[in-house]
Amino acid sequence: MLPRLAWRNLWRQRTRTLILISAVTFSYALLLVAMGVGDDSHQQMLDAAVEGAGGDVLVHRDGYWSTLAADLVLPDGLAVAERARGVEGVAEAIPRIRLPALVSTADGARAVDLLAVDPLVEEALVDIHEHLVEGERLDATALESPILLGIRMAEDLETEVGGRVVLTASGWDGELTRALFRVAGFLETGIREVDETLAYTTLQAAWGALGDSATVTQVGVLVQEGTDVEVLAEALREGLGRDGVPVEVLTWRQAVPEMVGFIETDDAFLYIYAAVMFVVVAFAIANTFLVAVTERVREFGLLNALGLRGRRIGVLVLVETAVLTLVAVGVGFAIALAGHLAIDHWGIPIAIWGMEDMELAGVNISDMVMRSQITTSKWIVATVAVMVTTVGSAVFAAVKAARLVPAEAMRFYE
Amino acid sequence: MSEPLIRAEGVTKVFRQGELEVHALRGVDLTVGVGEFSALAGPSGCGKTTLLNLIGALDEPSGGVLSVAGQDVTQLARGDAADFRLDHVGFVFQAYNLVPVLTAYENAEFTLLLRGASREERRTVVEPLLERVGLGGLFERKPHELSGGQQQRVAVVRALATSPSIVLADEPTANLDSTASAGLLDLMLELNQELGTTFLFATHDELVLERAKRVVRMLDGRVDEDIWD
Amino acid sequence: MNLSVRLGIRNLARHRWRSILTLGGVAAAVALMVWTLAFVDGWLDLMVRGATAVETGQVQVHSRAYADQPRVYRSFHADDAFLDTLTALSEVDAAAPRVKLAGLVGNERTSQVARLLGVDPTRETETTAVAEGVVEGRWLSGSPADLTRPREVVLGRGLARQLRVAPGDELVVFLEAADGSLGNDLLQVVGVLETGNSMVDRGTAYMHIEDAQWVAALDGEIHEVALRTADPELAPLAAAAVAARLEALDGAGLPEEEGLVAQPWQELLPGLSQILSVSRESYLFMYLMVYLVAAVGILNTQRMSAQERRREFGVLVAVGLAPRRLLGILVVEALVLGMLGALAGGLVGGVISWWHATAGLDLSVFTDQGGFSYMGVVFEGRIFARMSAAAVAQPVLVMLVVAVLSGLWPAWVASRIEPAPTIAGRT
Ligand SMILES: Nc1ncnc2c1ncn2[C@@H]1O[C@H](COP(=O)(O)OP(=O)(O)O)[C@@H](O)[C@H]1O
Ligand SMILES: [Mg+2]
Repeated sequence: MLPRLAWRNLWRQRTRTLILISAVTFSYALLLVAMGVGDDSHQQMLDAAVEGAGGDVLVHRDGYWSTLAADLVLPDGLAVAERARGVEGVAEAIPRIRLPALVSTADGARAVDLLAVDPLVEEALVDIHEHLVEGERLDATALESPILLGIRMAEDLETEVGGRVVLTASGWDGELTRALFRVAGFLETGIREVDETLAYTTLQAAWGALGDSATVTQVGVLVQEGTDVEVLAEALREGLGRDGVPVEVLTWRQAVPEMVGFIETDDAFLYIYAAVMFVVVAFAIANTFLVAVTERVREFGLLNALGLRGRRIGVLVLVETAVLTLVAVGVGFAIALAGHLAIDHWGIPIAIWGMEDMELAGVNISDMVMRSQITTSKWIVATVAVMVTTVGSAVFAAVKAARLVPAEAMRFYE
Repeated sequence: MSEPLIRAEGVTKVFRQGELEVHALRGVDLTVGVGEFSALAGPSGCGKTTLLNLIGALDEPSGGVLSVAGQDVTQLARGDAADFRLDHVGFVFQAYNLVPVLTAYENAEFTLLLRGASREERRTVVEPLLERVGLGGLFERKPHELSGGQQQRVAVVRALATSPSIVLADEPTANLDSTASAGLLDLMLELNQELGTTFLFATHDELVLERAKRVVRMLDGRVDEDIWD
Repeated sequence: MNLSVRLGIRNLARHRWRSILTLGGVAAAVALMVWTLAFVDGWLDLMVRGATAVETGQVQVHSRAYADQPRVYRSFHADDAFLDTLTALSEVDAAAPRVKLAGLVGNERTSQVARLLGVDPTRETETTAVAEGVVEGRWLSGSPADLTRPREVVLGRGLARQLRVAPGDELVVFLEAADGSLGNDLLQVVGVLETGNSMVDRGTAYMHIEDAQWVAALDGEIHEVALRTADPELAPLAAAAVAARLEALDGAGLPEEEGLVAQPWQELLPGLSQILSVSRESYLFMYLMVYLVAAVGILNTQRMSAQERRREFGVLVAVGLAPRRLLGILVVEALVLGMLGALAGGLVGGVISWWHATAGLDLSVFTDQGGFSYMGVVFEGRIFARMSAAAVAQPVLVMLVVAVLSGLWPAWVASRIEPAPTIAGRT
């Protein structure tokens, strides 16, 4: 009986109820959409960071990641990668060499972060040829010691496809080594800093220059869907750490702490705003129900005189709020879902706010398109929080209604 | 004979309630002269309040001729109607007469304030009137601190403060006990004699009818009887 | 007191709980916005400072060709007299000449790619805050380099960590010189920097300008002059003043090289200035969202209150209160409500912002990573909000407008009251 009574009572004050429902609906839907967009951009940032770092889990010579010291290497890197592939949950293990180097031509020299990879294996993480604008792929070229250069660097050095560049780097033993490379093609990402420093070569070519055939600086591990990264990292530590050189195994959380820090901070701010928004909404709801109680003093008095206990009158008020909340949350959820689908489908390029490139935690992100992503647990928590807040805000009014004594209630007006 | 204060000829009023048409007034002819102390009487629903509202320009007649204080009140714009009431009409209603958050004095001077009278002007008018109706010393009370009779007296002072042509009182005694009613009515009669203000009541209270100089009995939206004392 | 204001205040006082609840909502919204403005201001200050104060400076002078495309040989001659003509400008507080090189720095174990900045230690300290970032060892010695001793170098912390060196250790630098040859030299680490600017901290090495000129065969020439101005916001004006002075110098035949250009940091770091303007625009969005919800609260309260008092209004209109005047009374009531709430919110938000401006806000509350870097600036430990009159006044004033606007509709509806049926209790 109470829900039916509650439902009808709500519709007696149609405008007021609609205002209230729309306030809850609006802030709830806004919260969900903000979370959806936030989670998606964070995911993109993380993906970019993970891609930049080299994998979900990284295996290096112990101490390498914090120093990027070129002498801390995995001398038998290929074997490490092979063993990693055998660990349960590993989708791919990618051996690669990161080498700070100087690329020079007759027209100058440029400092680069050279990445030596096996292009086919690397594809599991990223297609290095995605930004190829001129020349050939590393795996398709007939050139010996091929190198792909960022377009801006190539222009600065005035090289062309097929041209020669000299690479200077310190070898594994610390001795400066110089080697000749042939430009296979140019890469253009659109991000200035990247296009000025990007350089890719093959593992074979790098080994050729450094006089070696198995040493790498990093093995990037990609995990299979649904695998717990922490558990896998532990398994890798077990499996790889036993013999040979000491290794470090880092999960992406450990590998890109600054990005994780940014995302956590950003999330915290979203929750602060959401909390204050709901305080504001809760005040409005508390208010409305308070007024509704005063206004309906006679009605409650009558119900009470008819034998409805004070407690149940209080419950009636709460049930009314609960009904209102359910409607608001239902509508809000539908709106949020529609917003989520629309944003996810069409995407919002951050360029519309005049933002092009950003640098976050050392990772360059350009022309990001914000989409949306539902994190079920977060949506559930948000929904429950909204329901508790709105129903809770009517408690004051409910207590007041429950305390009314019939005689007094009937005398209240006139 | 000079122009009557109120002249109504064939006044009709139809309310529409969805499909339903309610004929509240079916052709009222009535004249009221200056200085009268008259009452509209009749059973509940016969159209007293409706007629009073038309006279006070709170509503527009559906047909007929109606002039009050020489002014045609059948088609006044909202703002003009408000000005007309402020200039010519004083109201005393059955209930909710006073603004709850204003004191007795502030309620009494309200209409003068709307007219833009200065503080001093308001004081010279309102103070003696409040004293006159026996509210001296209660100026600072809020309505809920006054008895029903005292509240109605404040309403009377407010109605008279602007020296209106006519005071319209719709069931002013309906919420009062008989002692308070008698006191209020005697006071209004005295004021009618002292100030010459015209009073028109709508009521079925015997106490009012006893004192009225003229009783216009209505039935089903028409004037049934017109009895002078 | 004016009738409308008197009625407004008394009606609000009469329904104390209702008013307090609405005020609470309004105050929470205003406080949030005050804090947002103060915090974002502080944050943007930090970004501008982190990005400009440490390394870039507020204005830079280069040769036109170098500004277009940096090349080690695109240098120009700048003596003390030239620098003094720049600092003589009222817009310019200090000037620092620089040689900018890129090369490999390393030892027998390893080497790293580094940006090498040749600076005049004294002028650099006057112009940028880089020397304040020395966390180990010391800054470059003030006296001109003594050629009998190893050349001094101060490394960013990241670079020092990667090379695993500390003050006292020696390094070899290897780079492309202006004449196309490969220059190299021996350096001794004298200090390590941690400035909060990730470019400096991750991969920059500072050395004496004379040493840099020697290694790079620059023959006393420089690549850039960094200028400090008092207000980073006004850097474009300062750049214009510098440009005018450069033109005048050109006319006087000084310097002889091709023309020089002056650019403010807003041009030098376009990404940062984009972020700044976006952050400022995002205020609008915040206002919209937070105040919309607060507005709904006010609207709701006023609508309810008008509904409840409709008979009272009926009588007032009946006795001659013009509808427009009633509208005014009700709008004033909403305004009073908004004003009290806004003032309370301004106070609360002001106190919190003041607290975060003096004590700072510890980022580790939000993330156990302790911080992050964004647009080349490291945010770590405590972030300080910036209190300003505007940061408090703006949300308060905007709320007043919002209060009036959201009071308008309920007031308008209430003022359309039909007195006759209302008094009769038919509505
Ligand atoms: N606003 C209205 N809408 C519909 N019917 C109305 C309205 N006002 C009055 N009436 C009807 O008009 C008739 C006369 O009412 P009223 O003038 O209030 O009577 P009295 O004051 O004599 O009791 C009644 O039948 C009443 O129901
Ligand atoms: Mg009546």
